[in-house]
Amino acid sequence: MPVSPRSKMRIALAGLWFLLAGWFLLGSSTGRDAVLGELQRAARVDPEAISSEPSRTPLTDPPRILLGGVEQRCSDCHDLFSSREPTPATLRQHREVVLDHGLNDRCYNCHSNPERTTLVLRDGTEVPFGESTSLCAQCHGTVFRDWERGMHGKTLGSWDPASPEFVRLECVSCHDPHAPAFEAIVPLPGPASRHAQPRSGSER
Amino acid sequence: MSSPPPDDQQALSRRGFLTGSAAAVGGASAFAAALSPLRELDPQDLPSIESFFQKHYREMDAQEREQALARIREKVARRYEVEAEVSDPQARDGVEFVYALNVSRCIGCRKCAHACVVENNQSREPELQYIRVLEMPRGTLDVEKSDHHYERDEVPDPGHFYLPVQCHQCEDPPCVRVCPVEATWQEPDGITVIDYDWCIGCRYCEAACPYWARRFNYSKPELASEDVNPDMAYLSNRPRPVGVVEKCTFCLHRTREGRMPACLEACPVGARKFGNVLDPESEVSWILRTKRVFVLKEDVGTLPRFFYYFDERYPRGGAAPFDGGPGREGKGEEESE
Repeated sequence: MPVSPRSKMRIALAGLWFLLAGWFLLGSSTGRDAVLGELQRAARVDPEAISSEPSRTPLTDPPRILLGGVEQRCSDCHDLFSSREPTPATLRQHREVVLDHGLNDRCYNCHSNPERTTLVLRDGTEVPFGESTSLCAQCHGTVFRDWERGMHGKTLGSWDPASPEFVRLECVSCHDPHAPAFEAIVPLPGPASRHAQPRSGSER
Repeated sequence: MSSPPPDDQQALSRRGFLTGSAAAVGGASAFAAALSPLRELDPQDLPSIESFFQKHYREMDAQEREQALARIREKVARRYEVEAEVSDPQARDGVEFVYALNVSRCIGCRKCAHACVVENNQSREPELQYIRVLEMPRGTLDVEKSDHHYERDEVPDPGHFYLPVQCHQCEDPPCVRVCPVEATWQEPDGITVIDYDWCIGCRYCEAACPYWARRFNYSKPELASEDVNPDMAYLSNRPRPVGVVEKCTFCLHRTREGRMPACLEACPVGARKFGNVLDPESEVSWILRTKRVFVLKEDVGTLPRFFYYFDERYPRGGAAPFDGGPGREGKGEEESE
């Protein structure tokens, strides 16, 4: 049977139509799944890691420490024994303290002697532990200036300085006074979006 | 007059039948395929009459807004079994919010990005994040050289610095100008918001944003009931439907009540600063007056309300090495790329 070119085209079109319909019906959902498969699930993050609490709890004023499992005040021991000017090398007690504060490596630079329940400024003025920021300010002048205006440090509660909830954290709420630099930490997982996958050759 | 055509010309030919039925079956299956997304439709997602006729946020009167909030509350209760506190805080007079970020302090830990996800009820599957932390080689400020997929055992890396980017709440926002349905606009306190019920998902705004701050819900956002933050607002963190754009709103459900944004609270190094720029005593006012401040892509002229600043010191690890000079702590190799 002779088939005219016109009919051939019709048959071809019908076939194409069929294929397209089949692809839409069967293929469309798999195509969608393939796209969605690239959008990954968010990594669950420990709520502790993103807590809004200050990262450190400063010592109470006057301070109490755990010694031999018992909570002690500084004066419990230091009233009984007077200690020489210790250096990190000769320290026999408090050896768990990691001192990494640059040139400031003498206990009595900051701790008062013999009155251990307070700290001491360079001019001999005793300051309670609760006001340790004035002690830090002696050396860290520019940082203290910034902190006073809120340009350094962390403020919680409210953004409005007039609000009663406005709380600017003290130095020791974030920094360990014995080792004030922040330690490097493990970063939380990066974004898992389909957009902008890592560039090929980028360091992973 | 011609004779009537012979019968066999009027009768259905075999070929005509085959092509005709092929076209019919093909057409029917194409139609069915086109409707197939309806199979995935949850009847609960169908809009009620009231929500179908819900007006644009800015055209609603107080009563209609109250009803819209009640509908959200009901929907959250139905879908997540969570009793949500849906509010609609308004911009305060004399307040214009500004964000400042200390680049010298940021360590690239991404805590801000994850705190944001938790606070703003963002989709967990697929994952959406408003904040991108860019890791940049020291001595550059080229977004093209940055990487936000960095994976490291520890941060900060001595050879890089970190530049978190989120919505800059521009004073002249291109995203607002391109929206064909006015579903996004700038509030009096400077925050650019979206009416998720009015957004048609065209993504023009996403393309217009020079800071890549907007995110599109390609699929239905999945959020487990236990992950829902019940403290919600209409214009910020209420659960979003599929097919709309969303973005950082400076946590307006918190900040309009005087609280701090969630990203700031999670920052372990105090690099993030937030406040009212119209108050000369606010932290951000002091920063803008006295610190060395810059904005990202200043040349695009959108006047961001998100500022970066740095301290009078070298960042951690000291100065960046000169090009070709001796690197400190092995930074030289890492920058060679």
